[in-house]
Amino acid sequence: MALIIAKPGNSVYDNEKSLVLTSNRDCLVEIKSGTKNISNTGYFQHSLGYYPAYSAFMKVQTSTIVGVPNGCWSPCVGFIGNALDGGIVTIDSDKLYFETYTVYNDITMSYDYVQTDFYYSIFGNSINNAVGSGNDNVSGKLKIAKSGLSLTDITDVRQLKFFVGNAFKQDLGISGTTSVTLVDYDMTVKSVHHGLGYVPIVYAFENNNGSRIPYGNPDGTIFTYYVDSSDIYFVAGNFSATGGDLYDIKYVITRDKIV
Amino acid sequence: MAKFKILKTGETDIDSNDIWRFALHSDYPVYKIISQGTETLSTNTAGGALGYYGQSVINHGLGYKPQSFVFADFSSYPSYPGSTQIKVTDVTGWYIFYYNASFLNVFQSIDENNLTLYIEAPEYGKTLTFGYIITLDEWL
Repeated sequence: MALIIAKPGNSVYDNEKSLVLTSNRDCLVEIKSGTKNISNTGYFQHSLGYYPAYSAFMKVQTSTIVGVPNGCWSPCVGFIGNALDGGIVTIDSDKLYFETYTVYNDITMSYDYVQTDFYYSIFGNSINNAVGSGNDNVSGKLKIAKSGLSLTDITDVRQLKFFVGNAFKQDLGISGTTSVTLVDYDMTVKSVHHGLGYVPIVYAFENNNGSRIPYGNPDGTIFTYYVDSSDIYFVAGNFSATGGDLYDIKYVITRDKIV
Repeated sequence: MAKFKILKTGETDIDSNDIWRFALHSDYPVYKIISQGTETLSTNTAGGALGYYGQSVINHGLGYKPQSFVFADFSSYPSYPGSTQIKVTDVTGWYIFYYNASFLNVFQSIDENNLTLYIEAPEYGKTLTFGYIITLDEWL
């Protein structure tokens, strides 16, 4: 027996990628989220006892990129060279760690620490897919146990396929594809209007190389993006003379708010 | 058409148009996982831009490019200059990680059939463990 929810106009017998929810698959479910004001470095203690999957964004108080407004939110990565005007976020089994920085618009990638806000989403899903036990963090009345487990005994969300935490809600109607062209020794900004009136969680993907962004390529190209309450600003930077190539950027806008 | 909605804890208006108030809403697909696990790579093969590389290809076979999340465990590497904290972190594409006087290039990409994980370094035998989550959800 399975619980399957199809999108409006679709059938529960459609390809699984078209389903809203299926109990035949584990789901990515957020269990902790919030914002934290950080000066230089700081952390949020999640206390889960394992390495959970996560997403994080940093508020860019003062943008160094022409065409990107102050106050946008930027996806965080783990190393300074991989994004412009962003933050570093890493995790261990107890804490999520933040470092603030601003990368200037030049090839030296020099940076300053700043004081700003971070948004974090911590999922119940373990990075290494370990089922695990020991936490008492199951919430809500709708719960789907992983295969072979008894729902009545479960207190740790790692043993569930789905539960009522917060599942990110992808808005496929306003998600899509745009394109940017690299310019030698410069940055290109391409804005896409979402009009939600709040800052949504957005994921983006550089389709030519098949990688999520932000990322920094050893050849000197860099892709990142910024989000505010009305638009997404995609940035393609080129610190060498490899410009001219057209890149497709795919993006998914969720109905889950940063602020 | 009927809708299936579950409010987040503390929310009370089931008819709200603020979709972020819902834990689940049948108009908006959640992330559904098709594959998840870990891979440890070593720079045990001569070649690549830096001298040695390691690569792992994980087949998902979906026939389209799915959304994925990849994390890498740098906690066994010394901190790079200017940083005090380096643990497990999200690796989105190319990732150029500096440690002391050397560095490790890390790359992940996904296509219609495979997730590819790749590392390269000037030294033989450098290792890095990845955790990956591949969803059924397509990049449109």
